[in-house]
Amino acid sequence: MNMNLSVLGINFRTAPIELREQASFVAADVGVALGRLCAEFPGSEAVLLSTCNRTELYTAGIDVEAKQTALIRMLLKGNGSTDLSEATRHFYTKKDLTVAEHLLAVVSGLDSMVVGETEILGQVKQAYMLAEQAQALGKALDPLFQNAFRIAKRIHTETDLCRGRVSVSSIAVEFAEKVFEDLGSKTVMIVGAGETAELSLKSLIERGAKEVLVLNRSLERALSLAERYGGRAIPYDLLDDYLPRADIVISSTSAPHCVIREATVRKAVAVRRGLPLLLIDIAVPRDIEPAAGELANVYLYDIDDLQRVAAENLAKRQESVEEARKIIREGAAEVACMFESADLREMMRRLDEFGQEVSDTVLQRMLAKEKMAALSDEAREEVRAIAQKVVAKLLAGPRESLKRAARNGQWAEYANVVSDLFRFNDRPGADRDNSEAKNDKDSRKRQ
Amino acid sequence: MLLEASLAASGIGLFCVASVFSVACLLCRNPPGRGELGVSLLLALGCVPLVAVLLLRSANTGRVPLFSTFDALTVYGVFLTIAALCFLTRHRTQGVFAILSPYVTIILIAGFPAVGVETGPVPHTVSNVVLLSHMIIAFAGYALFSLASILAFAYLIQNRNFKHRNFGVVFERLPALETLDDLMFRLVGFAFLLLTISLMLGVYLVHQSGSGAEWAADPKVVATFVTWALYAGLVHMRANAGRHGTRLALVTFIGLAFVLFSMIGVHMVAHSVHGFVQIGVAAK
Repeated sequence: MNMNLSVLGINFRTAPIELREQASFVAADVGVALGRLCAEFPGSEAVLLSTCNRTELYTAGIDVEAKQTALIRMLLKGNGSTDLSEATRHFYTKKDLTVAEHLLAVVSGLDSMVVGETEILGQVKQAYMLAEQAQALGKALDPLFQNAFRIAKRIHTETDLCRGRVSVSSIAVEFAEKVFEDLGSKTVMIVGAGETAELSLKSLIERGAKEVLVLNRSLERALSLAERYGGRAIPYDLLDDYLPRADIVISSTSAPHCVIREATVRKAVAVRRGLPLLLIDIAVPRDIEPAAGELANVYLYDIDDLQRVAAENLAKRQESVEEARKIIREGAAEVACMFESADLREMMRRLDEFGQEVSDTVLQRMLAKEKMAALSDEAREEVRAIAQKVVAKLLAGPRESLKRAARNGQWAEYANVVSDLFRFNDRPGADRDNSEAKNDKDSRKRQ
Repeated sequence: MLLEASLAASGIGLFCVASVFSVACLLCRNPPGRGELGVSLLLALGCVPLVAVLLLRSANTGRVPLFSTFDALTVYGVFLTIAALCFLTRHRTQGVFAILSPYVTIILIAGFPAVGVETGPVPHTVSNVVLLSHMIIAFAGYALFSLASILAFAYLIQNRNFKHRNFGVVFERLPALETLDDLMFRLVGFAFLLLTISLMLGVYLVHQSGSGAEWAADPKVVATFVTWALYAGLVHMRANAGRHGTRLALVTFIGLAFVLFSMIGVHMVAHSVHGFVQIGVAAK
């Protein structure tokens, strides 16, 4: 692979949040940074991915190892307060094929903090679009990212890596959607004010929940929460009166006893005339009497139920990790093949040029001799044609071998041998190609 | 006869494939993308040879094909499938086809042995247009009641999944409870209207034939009125009393037994004045 692909970045595993904050880019800044980078390294390509868990700069045509300090400074936005050598310690660099593998792991959610999360796919797509707008994409990164999206989709559909929710709040929302589907006409009641309950409430509001009722022993806290989410604070002792109005109840008080009795729920169900009532109890000790869950049309889940589902989904995701890795390996090999076919075309072009050059040089010398001066133009043309045929015959063998090697995955070895035999590396302008070929070879050896 | 049997067999074959595919889509961890669309297409394709065989029988006998077990079950199966394709594909009811397809397939297989049965003469004292309307509207009503029962069955499965904490693939694929509840009662309301119209046309036909007492005691008439009363109660519970939930879903599901009995079962256990509707191979 002669594209000189590389990635330089930090993520939640390698860097503390303080450093990640400094290397964080909003969408508007990404275009500016890419524009500056492409101006500094003409002919290069770049994609800048910035999320709360990672900042990564994917490049092609830039010697990242040589320019590492400058690039890190750019990623840290020239922040003078940061110790650059200390910051550098947290950055990682990957080159050539390992870039493809890394990108595939990132885009499929395999490298995420919560394995299998799908938000990252949208974030990478946004980074790709920003790079496209900044005209920072070319023949290396464009196909690389397109292939990454395709392979990520394959992982999502063929494995369980992204299936099932894994947080308590998202499972509560999933249950709500499985009971009601359309939350647009539903009333959510929140009893107490735990963090998870608030997260669930937030998700339900994002999905369009119509009305929010907030009950808390402290009316002040109830008012504050209600104000934040556009709900109504209800005095705590009116719980029984308001329960029939609620379709979804999320309870997370710190009360040492049940605050919602079975009898209360029974009355509410009677008033609701069989409309389903979803009760999510995430308090320990439990807030809702377990017997309430036995009532018809009442669906009661406690923290253990939700955590069990989360654990099962997470286990399913973990089971799929190896499967996903296999698809990533296959995907990386496909990407390598794609780049190798580009390399193959380039090598063929150089062989043709070499053949043409040899025949032209020899013919020029030969036809310049005195004894050849008597040759007619027709005869000269014939000699020239014969010389070209001889060269073509001589090169047919190497060309065929190179094509076969590319098909059999032995491209790197054959390409190096042919380059040595025909001295492509000693020719002018070969220095850059030489170092890339070496990197390519090294990277393949690592594979 | 051979052509009719071949067409019917090919239609049933397509329904069998649709059944296997729809159940696989419900139960497989990684179902094929657009699996539901594939099932819908298979069911629609399956209806084509079945409609063709009904038209063929109509051409051969010179009257509408509704008077034998094969005709009745095939018309019912086709109506039910068309109703499902019209209603279910417009809502998020993925997974319900896995219940509907095997049910319709069993109905069609049950009718297949009677594919060549000739039916007796239809009383000519009745107006054919009114009789035809009476029967077709009744079959359409039965099909919609049955579709509501299938949705009720899905509701009961989903309710059980919630109560027993079975959050596997079936839970994931079946629709939300509220969606099922809502669709179920829209279908029941519509079907109840059709059955009422059909009964009124039936009363008109009896009045025309001038043999009221004989028809009033007819087992099929009694069974149909019982079915009508059951659904009247159901519609009242929902529309007037505002009831929802598991119990109503259970009654809707049980309603299927009443529908099947009044449509076809009553002919197997009792002599009916509707005797011109020939039942089973034995009637040949």
